[in-house]
Amino acid sequence: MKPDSDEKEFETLRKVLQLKRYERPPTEFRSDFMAEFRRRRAEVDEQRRHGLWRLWLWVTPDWAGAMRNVAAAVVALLLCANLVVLHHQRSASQTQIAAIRAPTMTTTPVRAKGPDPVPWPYGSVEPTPKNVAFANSYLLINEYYGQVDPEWSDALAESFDLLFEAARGEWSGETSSLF
Amino acid sequence: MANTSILAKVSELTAAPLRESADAALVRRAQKGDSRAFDVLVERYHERVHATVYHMTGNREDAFDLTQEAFVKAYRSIRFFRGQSSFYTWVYRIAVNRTLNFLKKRNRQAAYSLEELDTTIGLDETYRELASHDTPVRGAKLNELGQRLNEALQKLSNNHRMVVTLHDIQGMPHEQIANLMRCSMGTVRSRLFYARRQLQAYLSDFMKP
Repeated sequence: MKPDSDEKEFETLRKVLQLKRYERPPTEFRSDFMAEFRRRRAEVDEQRRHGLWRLWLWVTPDWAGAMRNVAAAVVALLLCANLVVLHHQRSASQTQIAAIRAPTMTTTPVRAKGPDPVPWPYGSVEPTPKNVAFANSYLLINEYYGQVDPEWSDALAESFDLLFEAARGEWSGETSSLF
Repeated sequence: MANTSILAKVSELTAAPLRESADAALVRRAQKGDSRAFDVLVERYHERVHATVYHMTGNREDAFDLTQEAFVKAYRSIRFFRGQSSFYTWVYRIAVNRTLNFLKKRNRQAAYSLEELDTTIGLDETYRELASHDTPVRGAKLNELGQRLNEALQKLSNNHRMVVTLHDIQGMPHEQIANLMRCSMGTVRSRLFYARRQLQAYLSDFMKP
């Protein structure tokens, strides 16, 4: 096919396609469309207004009809209590992070003078962290320092090992006051 | 005739920014909960969106439903609309995505339900040129050509049909189509080229000089 005739055919095709702009839906389309849209929009508005309440009514069984208000209050209270506990846990973890980041944290911890630490008495069984907050703070610190200079995070990793030793009671340094 | 078309172009160019600022005001009102403001936007654009969806699906009922769903979706999400594009582009994108998803699920080919032609087509220069006897489509009734064209459009892949619909039928520029379909302008051009090639092959009886 020659390029010239190709171009001409493209042009004809383009013109034919343009004629499709004149295709119109039936005359009642416009009014039907708007009426249907207003109906659907009203449904959306209704869902917005009563959505949560309807969901609640649907979730609770029929026999609990009379108890719904009480149950709703209990659920709300539980949610609030949960939020408060989460908030406290989070602030405790952040306090620990702040303490660990303090300048007293060095790669060469200063041992306090005193008797040598007592060896772990239970053989090869590794002790677990003494409390959940400690484990949480370790995870949080890992997440936080994943973004910093590798040199600094290596030094910090060493410090963490020492912290774990401290948690196990293998040595008593300044950081042991954290626990 | 030339003067009229120039005037039409000029008025179109000056009207576009005015329309967009008016749209923005309506969007702000709709975001504050004024549903009547949203109705005005729907009235303004539903026909154009419907036309595109119709050319994509080839079915009036499907097009009606998909256009409805697109506007309802826009109504639900209007509070999250940040105005980075025009309202029209935003709704268009919703409609196009819904249509493409719909077509992926629909396996069967649609039987075109033909729309009526607007009576103003008689004023169109292209129509008069094509209807005259010295054109490549001479001898062919335009209605028959329309029918064949619809069939040919349905044989294209969804993406090819979308590009042809938006560019050749709706007259949308390449850049806007690329933005709408989230692809490069090169992709739009190449899809357009291959789609036209396929259409030419389907309509070769009418197109041959």
